[in-house]
Amino acid sequence: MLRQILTRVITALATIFAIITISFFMARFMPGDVLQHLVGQEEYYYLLENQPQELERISARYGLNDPLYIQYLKYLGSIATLDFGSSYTSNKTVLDTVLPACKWTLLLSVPTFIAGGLLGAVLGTIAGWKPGGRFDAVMTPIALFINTVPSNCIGILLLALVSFRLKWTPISGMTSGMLTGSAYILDVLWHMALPLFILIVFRTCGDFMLMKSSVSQVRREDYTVTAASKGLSDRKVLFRHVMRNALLPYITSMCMQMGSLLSGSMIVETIFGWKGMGQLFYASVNGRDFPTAQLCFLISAVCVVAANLLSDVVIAVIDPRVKEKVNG
Amino acid sequence: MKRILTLLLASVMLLCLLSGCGGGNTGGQSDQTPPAGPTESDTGSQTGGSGDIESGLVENLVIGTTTAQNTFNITTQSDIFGRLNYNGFCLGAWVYQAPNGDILPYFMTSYEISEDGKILDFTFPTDAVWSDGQPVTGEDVIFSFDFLKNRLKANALTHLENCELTGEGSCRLTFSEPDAYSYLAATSSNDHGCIPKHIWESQMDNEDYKSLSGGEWAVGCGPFKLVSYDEDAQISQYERIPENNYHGDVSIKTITVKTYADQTAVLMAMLTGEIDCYYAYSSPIDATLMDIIAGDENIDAGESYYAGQNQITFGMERPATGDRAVRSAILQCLDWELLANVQGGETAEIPNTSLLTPSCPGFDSSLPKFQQDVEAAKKALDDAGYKDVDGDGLREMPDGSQLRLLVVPQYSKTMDLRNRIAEVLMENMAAVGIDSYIDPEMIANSEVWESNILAENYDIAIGYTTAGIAKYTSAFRYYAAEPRPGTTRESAWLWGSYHDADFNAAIWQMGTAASQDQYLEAVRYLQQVADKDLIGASLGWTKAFYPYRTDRITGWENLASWGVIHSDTWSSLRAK
Repeated sequence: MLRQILTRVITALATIFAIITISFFMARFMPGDVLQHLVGQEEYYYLLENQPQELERISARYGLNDPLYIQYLKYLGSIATLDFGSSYTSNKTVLDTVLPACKWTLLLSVPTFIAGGLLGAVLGTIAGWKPGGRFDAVMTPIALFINTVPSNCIGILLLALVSFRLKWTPISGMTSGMLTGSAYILDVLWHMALPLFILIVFRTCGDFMLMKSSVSQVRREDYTVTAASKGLSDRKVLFRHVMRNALLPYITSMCMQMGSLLSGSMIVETIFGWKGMGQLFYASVNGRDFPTAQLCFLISAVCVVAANLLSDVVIAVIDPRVKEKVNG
Repeated sequence: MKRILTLLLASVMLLCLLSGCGGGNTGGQSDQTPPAGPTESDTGSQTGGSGDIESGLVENLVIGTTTAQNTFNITTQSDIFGRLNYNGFCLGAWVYQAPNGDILPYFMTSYEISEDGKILDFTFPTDAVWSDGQPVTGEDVIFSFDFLKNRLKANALTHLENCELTGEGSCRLTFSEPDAYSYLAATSSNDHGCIPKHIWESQMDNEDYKSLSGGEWAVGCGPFKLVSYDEDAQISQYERIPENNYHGDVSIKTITVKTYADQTAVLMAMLTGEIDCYYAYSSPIDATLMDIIAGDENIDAGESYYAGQNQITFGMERPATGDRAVRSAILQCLDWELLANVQGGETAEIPNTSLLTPSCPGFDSSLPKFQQDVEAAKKALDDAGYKDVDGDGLREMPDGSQLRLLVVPQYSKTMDLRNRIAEVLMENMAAVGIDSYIDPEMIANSEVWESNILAENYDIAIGYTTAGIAKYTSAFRYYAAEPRPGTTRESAWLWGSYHDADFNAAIWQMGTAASQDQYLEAVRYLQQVADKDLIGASLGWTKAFYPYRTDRITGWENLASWGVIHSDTWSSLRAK
């Protein structure tokens, strides 16, 4: 088992290294002048006309005059020392730009992960236990509908209704500003209410469909029918036989979802002016802020790889079939 | 399972607590507040622009924007703090530009330019104060030009040879070239102004000076001082400095600036009364969003002609477009209604032949507007010998060779619009038998695009002029084909192809004009050339929308293409 996990860890590290390498060369091999991408076209020509020395300074600062392999080695060195340079748009270090965004994204994504996961599991189990029943007949079309409507559409509609018309929540932002202590916490909760609600609804619906499908499938398995035939109560059949098996794909899915905890929701964050990772990634790509975009990409990729690894390990630990295969 | 759940819930609580701690730090503000300086005794904190009716002072003006608030540095143009300083906000800007283009005194209380345009004498106030309470001195003025020239490396000060005090509150700049007027004009709506020596002299060798933010780095001698800001909330608050009344008494006690996620959110906030006006440099509200506030009698749309534009440049040395008859026929065959609509919706207008927009200084409204006449275009081509010889529906050159025009939209991140414009142009030209094409490499690679433009390898180039460039440098800058004397072609950013010596000289004269009259004379001449030789065309006059509420505050003046926030605003607004 330990050897298997070690192999997975090495594979994950190799994947991360490959991602780092690809992200470096992708930015450098994009068509066009890297300096123009870095600075932005308008700013580039302004500087070319008014402050050409500034362009030379930027070029030297980012090592753009060095040979590519030197740039690559420097990039690896910067990752190793966690020195990702400065964000061109905010003039701050990339870490100072990205870390606060991580904090704000986690504030939305962790409650979404927990609440959506729990609600999806409970509601999906109820619907899957009695497929075609009244609850399933009502809940499934709703979940299907929400799953198929783009989040930007729902987001803008709710923003217009709840924030603008009803004025229950703020139109944009994360806090009202200049507050401290409990007033600050309450203010943040007030600002995050609507985006969090939307994210939880979407996550719940997605998880609901998965759990329902999983439960209804396991419920038809021979061992479940046998258990019921033996005269076990519904509760015992559900918790001892159905849930134990139905939870395996659900837990795998939850582990995978953990990979997106730090990626943020680009659309919802953008609509509600939530300065999290999603919005930062969007803004940095849009603003050609490659140092920031590269770190966002790196964090996101590392999380996904780590989540995959976690998923593999968890399944190996809790699924007797996998455990047997590994030991055998 | 229970254990896992408990752990997860504990994590959430911990996160909430952590965010609460963050709030404490943010709200603490002690490290984000500039050093104490002159303060207003009554710093009303209510938002919503309610006013003190008795005195007419505006208690608190709330400005909404979409520009970020992360950098508060008096020497940079970054973020909304830097952009607001284009209007002499916290920065004591040297001068400012009046709506008619006049360069008016601001921190420079008066100025005089010598006849040869090389000497600029000016006076400055002796009672102005920095926002940290220190007095502004002549040494600060001398230091400012040193910083602007040697640290900011401002090109407009390349020829500055000497800066000296000529008395108490007076100073003289000496240039080696006649740059005095052009320096003032170029910086009149820009970020040049007085910089505090006691704060910035230690940063003369710091290449990362732009990364400094907040606290002392925001200290300026403009009519307002930064009081506090909250990066998480994207809000900043300012308070007036009554002593720094360069343009009359400051009539706004406090200002709050709020950043919103996008323009839709800004308009919603304006409808709910959360903000009084919108400001963003060179980013008016999109015309398609204006329906959101339509019908609200308390909101003025703030409509004006946008100074920026999309334009075409003909390849003047190319076999076909070098012929005026072809250029004229192309301009006649274009669907101008559609072109205008594509760019600015129903409010956009068909342009005239001046190559400028109506809000540019010196704009000549007497020149004719374009209009589509497909039959006249066909006849003009026939008369000039461009006929369909082989009967394939496409015209050939008079010598029988292929007529195929290369259309080159400018490579940029907003090039989707110009690609759409290219489609319209190509369809319109096809309708009169002119074949044209786009090279995919040129629209996918900025280096390929630029090398072709610099080599004049285009028949029709589609480019754009930003509002900032249009206001002084003007769209003619993009038609320059000869470098400014003393520079090389590569470094001079030359995308034009009309090598006429007088035309090119006039373009550079605009930048080195010794007075406004000289500047306007050059603009008039260039427009006449554009009309006569048809070297290119504006593709539409779009409208700029900078909306503002009229129910609580009066005295707004909507500056064309700029909006209601400008140097006059600080003294012109009154509470209703």
